[in-house]
This record gives sequence, structure tokens and C-alpha cells, in this order.
Amino acid sequence: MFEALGNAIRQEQEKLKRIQSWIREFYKLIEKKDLLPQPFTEGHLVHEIPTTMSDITHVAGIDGGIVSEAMTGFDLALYRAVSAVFTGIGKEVKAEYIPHFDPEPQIFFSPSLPSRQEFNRICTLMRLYAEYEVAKLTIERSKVAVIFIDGKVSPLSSDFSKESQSRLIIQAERDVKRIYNELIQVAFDKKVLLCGVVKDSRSREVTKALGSVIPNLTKSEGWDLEFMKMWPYHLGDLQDAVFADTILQQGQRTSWVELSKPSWMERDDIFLQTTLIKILSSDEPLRLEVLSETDADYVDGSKRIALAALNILTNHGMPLALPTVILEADERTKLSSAHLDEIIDQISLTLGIPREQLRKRRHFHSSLSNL
Amino acid sequence: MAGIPGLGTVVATQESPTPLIFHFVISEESARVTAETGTFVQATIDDELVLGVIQSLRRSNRYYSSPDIIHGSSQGSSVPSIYPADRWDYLIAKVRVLGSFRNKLQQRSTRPVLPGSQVFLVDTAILEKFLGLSKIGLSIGQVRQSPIEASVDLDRLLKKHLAILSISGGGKSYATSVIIEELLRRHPSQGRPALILFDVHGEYRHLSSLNKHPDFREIDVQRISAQQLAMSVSYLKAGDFSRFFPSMSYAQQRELSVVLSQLQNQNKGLTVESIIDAVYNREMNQLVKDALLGWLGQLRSSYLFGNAEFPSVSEDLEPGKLIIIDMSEFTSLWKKRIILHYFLSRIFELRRIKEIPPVVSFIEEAHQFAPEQETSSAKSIIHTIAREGRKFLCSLVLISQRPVNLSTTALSQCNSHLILRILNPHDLTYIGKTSEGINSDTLGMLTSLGVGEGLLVGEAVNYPVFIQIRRKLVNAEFDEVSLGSESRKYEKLVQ
Repeated sequence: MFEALGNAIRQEQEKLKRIQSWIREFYKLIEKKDLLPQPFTEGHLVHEIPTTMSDITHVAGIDGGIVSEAMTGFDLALYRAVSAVFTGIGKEVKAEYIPHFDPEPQIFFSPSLPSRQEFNRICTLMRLYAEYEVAKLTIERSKVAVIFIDGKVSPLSSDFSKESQSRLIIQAERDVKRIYNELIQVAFDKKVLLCGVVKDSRSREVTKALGSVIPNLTKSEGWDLEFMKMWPYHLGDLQDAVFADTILQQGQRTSWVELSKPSWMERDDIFLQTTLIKILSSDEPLRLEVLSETDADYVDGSKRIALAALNILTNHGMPLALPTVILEADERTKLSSAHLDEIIDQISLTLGIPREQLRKRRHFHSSLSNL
Repeated sequence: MAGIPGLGTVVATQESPTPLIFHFVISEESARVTAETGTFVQATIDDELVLGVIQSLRRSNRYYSSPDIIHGSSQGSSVPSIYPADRWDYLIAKVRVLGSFRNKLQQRSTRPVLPGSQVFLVDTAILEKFLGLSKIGLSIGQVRQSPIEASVDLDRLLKKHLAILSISGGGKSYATSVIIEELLRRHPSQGRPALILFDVHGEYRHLSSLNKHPDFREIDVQRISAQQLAMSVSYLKAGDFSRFFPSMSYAQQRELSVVLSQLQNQNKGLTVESIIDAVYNREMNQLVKDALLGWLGQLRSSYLFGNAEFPSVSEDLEPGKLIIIDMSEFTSLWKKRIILHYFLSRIFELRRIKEIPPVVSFIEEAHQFAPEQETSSAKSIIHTIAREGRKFLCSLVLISQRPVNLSTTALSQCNSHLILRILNPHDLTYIGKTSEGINSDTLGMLTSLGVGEGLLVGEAVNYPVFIQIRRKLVNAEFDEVSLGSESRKYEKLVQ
């Protein structure tokens, strides 16, 4: 069995090597072009990431944590989100926390949901709501220029169910959309750049974008058509992170690529862009998404701040390529099963029902803090 | 709790809270500055006020406790430039619960404080009451980490004897001087015992000039040098001789006893010479006679005994007066032990019949006079006073730098211990065994005490309390001479 497995892996490795070799050749060709067309918003594919920023600039990292358990007859979850606002980045970091250094978790309680999937879905929605609410609060309370959200910058259409049967979920989805729209509005009003930092991204948006421009590029002089014929094979199914990891050196990023906005968003003045950045050689590139107002004058400056902050704060020497501003927020939001046990104990004491009995019927316990 | 600064919040750990211990986290910068080991704190459980003392403090910072982060910072950016390390800096204090107040009654703590409870600095009035300090006691310093004066009740400190223990140079003689100053400046209406100090190294000469200080104008301090010292042989019994000469046989002791009673019946001034003559002239076994003449000859050549006594125990020991027996000129430990035995025996005898006022006897280098292993002529009387002195208001203050060598009987009868700096592990272990109320954490703190800091335990206070000994009112005429400066003098002489 292991021999067959080894062979399969070896084949995949060899395939990857071939693809990487092709990508490097392709990159040499593409770098000779003066201008990459839309959806790329910059001429060249690879750029250096800024290494300095003003130490008085405020940058926030937001993360949420949740811990949940399906009990006998009811479902219970604790969740909270924290924003860590850094100044003095690159010199001596000072942090403030919104709403607090250690906020009380909020409690979600409902009669048992029909399925575990629905319960997980509602947990995700609550966590998102808490994160966006804290992001909005951060913009209102501090002089923040850039906000980093752990994960994608906005909910995807797939985050919202198309055929949800639970009124609870429908309501939660509405709440998330409402708070996110409020967040966008306050961010635009205060000229704050909303960013999403995606680790281990499986997206293919950059490679897709390249695929869309390659037919035009091949019309240029000096391109080897035989070589370029291979692009659907090499780029067609390739994740952005693998592509970027092959062409980027440490301290470099790919060109900004414009993204289409999720279908659930009703506003037309939204401009979404993404780039892949390689800060640590020991980890795959991070995907940075930014959401801004279309044609806003502050966006270029804010993007520079975001890139510099990410560069400085991720260069911590540890293999995990995540900025410390998000690690800090993550540390403040962590919830453990001990938090849940306390609440269950109190319920148990109030009702006079042993804790074990409350946990009897649907005995699963899931920590969703990393969702 | 209005007005009392809050320090932190009680946390639940695997080992605490229990009725005896709790831990709390100190986050605020101001509280981190205030809290030290030895700080008294309080927390409440419903209507019960729990008092404790910070036993140990541990500083924590997650960013500096992760080897990964430290390693990473050596390869990337420095920790403070990318992490808010200062926000994760906090202290964890371990508190030993001393007791509690409930319905205004002081009692043993039987319930653990609740996790999440707020911890405060102790209200000073409550702490004074709790520690059992006295408003009109001996003010020997200040309770460490508090504004409270360490004013200790005279009876509680001295009636059942006191031991002052420390390494050499740890501040024993300083603390002793402070206690003596406090005893001497008591108003007659408060009651003043007579004081006698056996000064082995001449460290207390400065007390002779005590009356130059305005607080001690009326105070009489009498320093007795080796030349002035005189002991009367007429107060000796045969048993005393056998203590001076432990090899003395029963037969020798019996013959000597007969000689002494015959001489005392003649009502003549008794001297060593007269005893020698009497032994010489009395018919007895020649071997016994030769041995006795040998012992007595040795005693005569010590020049310790005559037919008079100075200082006079019956006349010179007065309330509010200090007698210093300066033994620094004696090199022979045998002689020093005889002197101590003589005066302590006389004091105890006269105190039993109340011919002299209550006496406090300070014994420097007590381990030399009442050693644990060896025989010593002074050991017996020290044991006797240690056991029975309380009944006759005849108190001992045993001062020693080697508690492990000090007689267990004597030390165990000292119901209060003032422990200054101790480093020797054998001494520490010994103190841990012999001093009540000391646990291993407190014991560990003894090694780090500075000069002038001490731990008072036992009868004198309700709970072990760290004290910063106050400054002496009268300083020594000479500071401790440094090896370098003294050597430089001789360099000049050679040139």
C-alpha cells in the first residue's frame, strides 16, 4: 500500500516541479511586458513590499473566538471578538483593546437546532457578527487607518445559505449583512481601509486573472507560442499561493488584482482587490484582501500602510506567517471549554440537574474558536 | 474598601484558593509597584475579612516566556517592536492566609476566598490589631511593607525569653542595642526592668555614652571592664566548683563542700586562698586533696574571684539601669563561662526572693555559653532560667550567630525569635524546626534579608512579621573597620 502511495506522491511532486519550472519561465516572459492589463491594477506582476511606516499610525487586528456545545434540549455557545489596535509599529508597539483587554463572552442559547451543521452555521454567523461589530466600534473609537480582519475581508455569498429553513439562521444572516453594511459605511466615512488576511488560501483568483490575460499577451512579439500553449494545463488548476510561492522572493508581493464583489452586496461603490505577499520564506504567501470605496484618494496610501504593517508585524521569525496584531487579537479572544463549563455549572445549579445529564443526549463538544 | 488601594484579582489554580493559600494576579502598574513579598493584603468572603501576607511574587509575560518568540526575535524584529509585550506583563502573588475577622472576632481562616475576589492592601488599624502590636510597647522598627510601627508589648517579647539569631554582621548587636534603648527609655510609670548585658566582643561600648543623648539623660549605664570585674567566692557552692571543673569527682566535691561549710560558719571573708588553706590542712584522702588543690590553684590563678563582688548584683541592678559586663579582654572561654555562670546564678537566686527588680539578661554569643554538644559551666544556669525564669520575671535574651550550635533546651524556651539574616542551610533548617509559624517560603526569605531587616515570630506577635529595625538613637563610636583601610595604616607604619 505504501509503495503505491509513495509512487502517487512522487508523481505529484514531479508534476509540481514541472509546473514550477514552467511558471518561472513564464514569469521571465511576463516581466518583459510593460503593462499587465485588467484585472491587474499594476503594470508588473511582482513588487517589493514596503519595510517602513510611521510609528504614529494606528493599525488594528480583529479576531473572534467561539466555543460551543450541543446540550440536552438546547444549544449553547460563548463568543466574543476583540480588536487590538497597535501604534509604534517597528519601534515600540503599544496596544489598546476594543472593547476591552478581556471582554465578557456573549452567550448564545437556543432550543436544539435541527442539525449540527445548522448549529455550526449559526456559530459562524455569530462570530462574524461579533468581529464586524468590533471592527465598527474600532473605527468609531480610535484613529485607526487600517483594519486587519483574520480571514476574508467580507463574507462570501456561500457563507449565507440559499435555502435556509431556520428562522434563527435567516435572522442571523440578516444581522451579519446589516452590521457589515454599517461597517463599510463607517469605514468609508472615516477613510479606513478594511483588510482581510487569509492564511492557507486556496483561492485561484490571481491564476484565473492571468489566464484571462494570457491570450492577449501571446499576441506580443517574442512570445513562444508552443510554450504558452501549456498555460491552461499549468495555470488552470493552480492555487494562487503555489503560484506566488514559486515566483516571489521574501519581501515581495504580486500585483493587486481587482476582485468581483460578492453577489449579496448591494452597494456599487465597493472596490475589492487582492495581492499575495511573501514575508517569511518558511511559510506560504499570505493573501491580503482590501475593501475600499471606488476611486477614493486615500486607498493607495492606506494600502502602503497595510503592506508595511504586515511586513513588519509578520517578520517575527516564527514559521507562522500571520501578523502579530492578529495573533494578539486571537490571544485576547481565545475561549476554552473551561469558560463553557462555568456557564453549564451555573445552569446545572439553577435547574438542579446534574451537569452530566445536561450533556447526555448529544454529547459532542466542539471548539470553534478557529473558524 | 473605600480608600484602600486595590491590588488585583484572586485566580483559581490547581493548588489554590484554599483556606490557607490563595493566588492573585496583579495587572495594574501602580499595584505592581506596591506589592512586594511581605506585603499584608486582605480579601473578603461575605462578612468575613481574610488577611494574608504575600509570600512570593512571580512575574509573567507570555511574549518573553515563549522560546519560539525569543528565538524568532533574534532572527526578525525585536520583541517590543512587533508585540505589545508591556500589556502582557503581570505579577502572580502567592498569599499565605494568616487568619480572618468575623463579627469583629479574630479567628482561624476556614474558608477559601472566592476566585475573582478583589484583593486590597490591609487597613492599618486592622493589621495592628491582627498582629497583636502594642501602642505602648517597645518600638523596635516598622512593619515591613506597611506604615505601621512595630511596637511590641514588653511582656510578650521578653517575659518568656527572646532569641536574636543572625549571621555575623547580620545586625544582631544593632537590633539588641535598639531593644536596650527602648527598654531604657521607658517611663518609670510603665515599669522598667534592670538590664545586664554580657558583651563578649566589646561591641556595646557605645552604650556607655548613652546619657549624652537627650532621651537618656537620666539613664545610668555601668560598663564593667575585666580589671574592674570581681566575683565573691563566698557565694559559691561546691556544685559551682564542679561546674567550673567538670572532671571533679563526687568524693572531691563532697570534701570541698565540707570545707566550704566550715569556712562559711566561721563568718570570715572567704577567698580562694582561704579555701586552699583549709583543704591543705584538712585530713582527707591524699589523692582527693591533691586534685582539689590542683583545681583551686587553677581557679586562683584565674584572678576571677576575691572576697567581694563587683558589680554588686544586689545593689547595682536597678530598674532602668544597664550593666555591661565587658568580657572582650578575656581570651579564655572557660573564664567567660565562669563569669556568666556566676552572675546569672546570683541574679536568679536574688530574683527568686525578690531582692532585686525584674532583670533582663542579654547574652551575646549564647552558643558559646550554652552549646548544644559540649559541656559548659554556664549551660546549666541558662537552662534553669530559660525553664523557670518566667515565674520570677528573670528574662533571657540569647543572641547567636550559630543557632544550630545553641542548646535546643535553651532555644526552645525562648518563646519569641527575632531572626535576622541567616545563610547557613543547617541554621535555616534548625530555625525552621524550632521557630513556630515559619514555613519553607518564609524560611527562604531569611536568606535575602538585608542588614536591619528581621522576622519576629513567636509569643511577641500573633503572626510572623517582617520588621525593618529602626535606626539606633546612639551610634557606635566606631564603625566597622574595613580590611583595606586598616591595612593602609600599617603600610604607612612600615614606610
